[in-house]
Amino acid sequence: MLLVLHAAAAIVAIGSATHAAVLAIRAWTGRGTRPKLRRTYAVVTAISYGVCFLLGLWIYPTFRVEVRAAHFDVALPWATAAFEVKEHWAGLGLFCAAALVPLGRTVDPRRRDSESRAFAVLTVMLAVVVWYTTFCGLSLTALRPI
Amino acid sequence: MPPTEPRPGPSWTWALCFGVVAFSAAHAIPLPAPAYLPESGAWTFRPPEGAIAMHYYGVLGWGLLGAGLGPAWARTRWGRRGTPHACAVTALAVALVYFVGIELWKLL
Repeated sequence: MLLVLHAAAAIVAIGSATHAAVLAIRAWTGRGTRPKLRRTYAVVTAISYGVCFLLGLWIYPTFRVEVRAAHFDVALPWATAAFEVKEHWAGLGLFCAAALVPLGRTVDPRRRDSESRAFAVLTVMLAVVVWYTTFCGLSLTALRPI
Repeated sequence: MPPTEPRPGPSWTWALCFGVVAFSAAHAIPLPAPAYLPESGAWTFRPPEGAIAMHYYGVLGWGLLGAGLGPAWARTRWGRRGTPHACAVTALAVALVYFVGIELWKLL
């Protein structure tokens, strides 16, 4: 059940992070700023990402013993490597998701300064992290579920 | 806004920057962090030989500690003068590449 909730939160995060990235790119290229929508997506991404991350931390010990140590480490070292990248990228993404909420409130893409440029780049990077972690998690679960 | 008061944006950007650097450093150096032993449910700084030990929680703790120091750094003279946005983007990009590189290196 926790694994299903973990996946559900990841699906919400992937949708909101992708929308946030598209909005940030559009704003940076001068095709509309839509500040209210930008703030909403930043908050939804941060909440869904945080929930997904906490659920992941919760189920991690079970996965570590029953799946990774028992199967991946023994027979599928590439799966262990993919998961290691996933967990570390997820940790980095946590800081990014938390920082984008207050940044989304203060940034003004029309100024095209370092803050608005950084906001656009960080939003795209977070979307890449969310896409990788989600697809890696789903693929590894399909390979060997808890 | 008075010059001693950092804007919310840079303050949080420093938090991101410090969090990413501390998280990556805790893994790369590695910094001392407690490991969780899932089979016994115990925490230890020195896991027994051959036991399954999870260092991730300890590494994450270092990252959270670093992120907590970011807003405090933003209030200092260096924090107000610095370029938090460039630092945060660079730190995050380097960390993302580092973690991919280290895993590819282990596979080779």
